[in-house]
Amino acid sequence: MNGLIELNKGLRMMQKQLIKMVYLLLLLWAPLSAAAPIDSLIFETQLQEDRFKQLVQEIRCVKCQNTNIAGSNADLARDHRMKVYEMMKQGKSDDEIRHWFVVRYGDFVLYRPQIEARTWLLWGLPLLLIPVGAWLLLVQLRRQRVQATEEAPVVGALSESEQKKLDEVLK
Amino acid sequence: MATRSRALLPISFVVLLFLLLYLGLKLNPRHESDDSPMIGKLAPEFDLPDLIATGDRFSRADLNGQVSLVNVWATWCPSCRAEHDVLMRLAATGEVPIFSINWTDRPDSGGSREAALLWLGRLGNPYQKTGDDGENIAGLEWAVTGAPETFLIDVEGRICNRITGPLNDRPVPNPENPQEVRNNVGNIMKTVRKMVAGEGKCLTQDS
Repeated sequence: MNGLIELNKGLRMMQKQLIKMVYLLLLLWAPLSAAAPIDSLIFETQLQEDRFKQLVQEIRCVKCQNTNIAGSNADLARDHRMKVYEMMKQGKSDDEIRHWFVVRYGDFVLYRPQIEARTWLLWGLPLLLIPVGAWLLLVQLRRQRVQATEEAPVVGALSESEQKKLDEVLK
Repeated sequence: MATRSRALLPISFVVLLFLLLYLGLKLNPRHESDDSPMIGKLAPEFDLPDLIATGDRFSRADLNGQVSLVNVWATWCPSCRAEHDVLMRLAATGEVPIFSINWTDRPDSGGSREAALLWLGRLGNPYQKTGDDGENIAGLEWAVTGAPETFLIDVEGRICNRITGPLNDRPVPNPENPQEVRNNVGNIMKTVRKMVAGEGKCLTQDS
């Protein structure tokens, strides 16, 4: 009985802690969402709204260059958000919308570069580096093992006086 | 000997990293106008109402058959004001026709059509034709990223060059300022003269 009450208390404490954490996280999040400019756009479905949000996150503001069009108050960024919205209304796909931006402003307008002939190194290098790293690690490990077996007898051998001293200490 | 060669690898690696860091710091973090994918392509289709002559239009067709400049400006843009005098002097030479797009001169940017008309009335009009693009319709097609911006158009209506920022007509542009060199009217006119002397097409890299 006592145990159960204790357990209950403990759980309630944990719950309180959890709620505190959630509030804290929400507080941390608040400045981010407050910084985003507000457009009054109407979407027919939640899916469309999500698509829009995703796209404006990915497209760079060409006026400010260090932020996306979702986070910029620049007039041009607003025009670009409206253009994305308009193209979505026309039934254009995400790729078509991205393409519209790339042919005008270049690859840099996308925060996530597309995979194509010119960008394979950018995307492929990390994958190529994994086997290289694994190989280096293997070589290093093997070298260490060889070293360890070579040096072992030297470490083990104590002279008679050393052995005596050691025995003395260990007594 | 063995230890020395073992140390060589990480040291050269660190040196390489520092080299990369140095290169990265030297690189211009801003995206420059020369990288525009619009260069070398035909100027986009557009059709704007003429700012001055009511009922008239300024469109893509006006750019065919001559080497010309298309200047993008707005009354809310201070460097356009500085550039305007340069454009007036260039127009006075009569060497190259200058067209313009009056870009996003709308109330929420601090401009208006009336302000644009007043500007040309007071400071002079260096343009053959000016399109009224208050709503940034042609601007999006031309991939304008800011005012002022100037495009060099060839006889076929192709974009040869895109020059961002104000033009200057200093007799000797500061060689340490790449933008000043690129935006120098003297240098631009050298290209224009070369084009006109030939077939009027964009110069290729080697010519």
